[in-house]
Amino acid sequence: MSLVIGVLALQGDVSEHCQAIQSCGSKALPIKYEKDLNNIDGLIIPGGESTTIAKLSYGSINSAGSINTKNNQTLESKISHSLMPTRIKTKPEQDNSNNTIPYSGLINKIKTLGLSGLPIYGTCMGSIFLAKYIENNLNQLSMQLMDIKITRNAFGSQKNSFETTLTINCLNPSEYRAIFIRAPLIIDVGTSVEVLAYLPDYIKLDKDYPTKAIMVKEKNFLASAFHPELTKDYRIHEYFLDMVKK
Amino acid sequence: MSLGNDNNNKVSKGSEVVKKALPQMLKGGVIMDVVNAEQAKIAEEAGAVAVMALERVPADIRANGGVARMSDPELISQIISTVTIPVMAKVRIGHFVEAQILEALGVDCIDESEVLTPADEEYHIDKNKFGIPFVCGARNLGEALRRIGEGASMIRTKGEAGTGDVVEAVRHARTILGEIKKLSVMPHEELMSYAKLINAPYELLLQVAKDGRLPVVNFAAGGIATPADAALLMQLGVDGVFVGSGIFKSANPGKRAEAIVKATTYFTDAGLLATVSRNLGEPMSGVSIHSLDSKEKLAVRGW
Repeated sequence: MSLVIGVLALQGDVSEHCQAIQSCGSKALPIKYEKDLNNIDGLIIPGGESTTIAKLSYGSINSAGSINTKNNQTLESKISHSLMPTRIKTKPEQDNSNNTIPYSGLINKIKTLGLSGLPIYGTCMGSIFLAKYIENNLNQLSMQLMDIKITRNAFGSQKNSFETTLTINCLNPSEYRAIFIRAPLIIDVGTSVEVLAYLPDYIKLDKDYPTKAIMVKEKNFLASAFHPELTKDYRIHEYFLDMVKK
Repeated sequence: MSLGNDNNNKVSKGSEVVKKALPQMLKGGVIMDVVNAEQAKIAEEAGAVAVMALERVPADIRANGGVARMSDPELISQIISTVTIPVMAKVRIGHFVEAQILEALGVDCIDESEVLTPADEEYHIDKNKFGIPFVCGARNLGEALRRIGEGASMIRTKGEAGTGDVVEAVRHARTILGEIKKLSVMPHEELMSYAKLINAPYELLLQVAKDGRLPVVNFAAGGIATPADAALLMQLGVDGVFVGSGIFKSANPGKRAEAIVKATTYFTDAGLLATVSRNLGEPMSGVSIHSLDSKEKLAVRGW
């Protein structure tokens, strides 16, 4: 039976990931609700805008109407028993964040599934959602599933977005054409994190960082700063599907 | 400016794929018109995927008259430094120097817009010459493909900006999407004549016939004022929406903005649409499209 890979479909380049998964012979399922998560073998968090996804996934989807359904309240009480202790702690630098967004079900369920072993791959914005630490970020929330530190928009605005040929040793051949769009950069990694690709030396940055990683793996999690779904070279999706099969 | 050496041939910036990719990341989202940094912050906090920086929203341009131009670079820079989401800004149709200025300022995308007073009544900007993406308005498939032929990386319906009347956006979305459907079943021998009929570049038309969609992201714009308006356009099949005057000309911009963002994501969920549409306060008052003189209509600008 073919694998079913969910693609978080709140906003972003969802259809490109679905296309890539289907081209690799698996089934793609766009995910908008908690119930959609029930029957998936792996999950991709696509490229998009992190502030938008944070708003949509943490904010109670009922808050605009100031009406809370019973459903959501039940969920909140469940959360307080299971995930509250590990719930995201705002770091001191994040303390002045104006975060009044109530914690909602979708992202919490994804976090629970991730902690219990569901393979999750984040591209660009998706990698931000997996990171434990986000640099210079006041009101960003992430699932904190990977022991990495990430900086958003590391290369600046769109005029500095680029494509280049990387060496990714876990691919054969290792040459890989990658597209970076207002991309983040993984600037520090914990000891349990495997770096699969570094930023090439010829790309100079204004700032110096402990590391400059662009593709990393830790346990059942995979993250890349670039967008494999924007090319027809689906080897990275295949790599992720291999992780799912294991 | 992080990538030190631009002549480094190992790094390709501003390529077609890189330019088209930015709008791809905005799909399923709402792009909001803002006139200052404070509004930009409200838009970002409400979940906008990008903001459009301009001096006056279309409703005020319509009310005040006069020549509408590119915004003050100081205003645009303030907005860029306030938000982390992409910042777009408008230039007059054909005004390639305004576009050069916006590119130098570091905006993420340029809107060559009929909302501003056209600078050239014959030619649009050669958008292929620029390293950042352009979005352009279109009322039909021929117009969309002409803009893409000039290098636009994103298309939006024109609608009738600043009215709060969604009828023209619906008309343009239905026209473009309907023509695409028609193309996808058209016998191959009819395609050249159809290209001639709608004044579209033949190669692009062939691509649309084959793919069943535009080769770039296609948003709706012009007159969207409520969560239901946004969901209507999404159900018709666009990739996302622009909301201009509809947010900051309403009674409660933050709340309305957030509701429109949710409606754009959950556009088929009528229960949720009912919930988010409650108690938003007065929408922008608006003007009916039929009360406008034909010379007051902005959508007819562009060729």
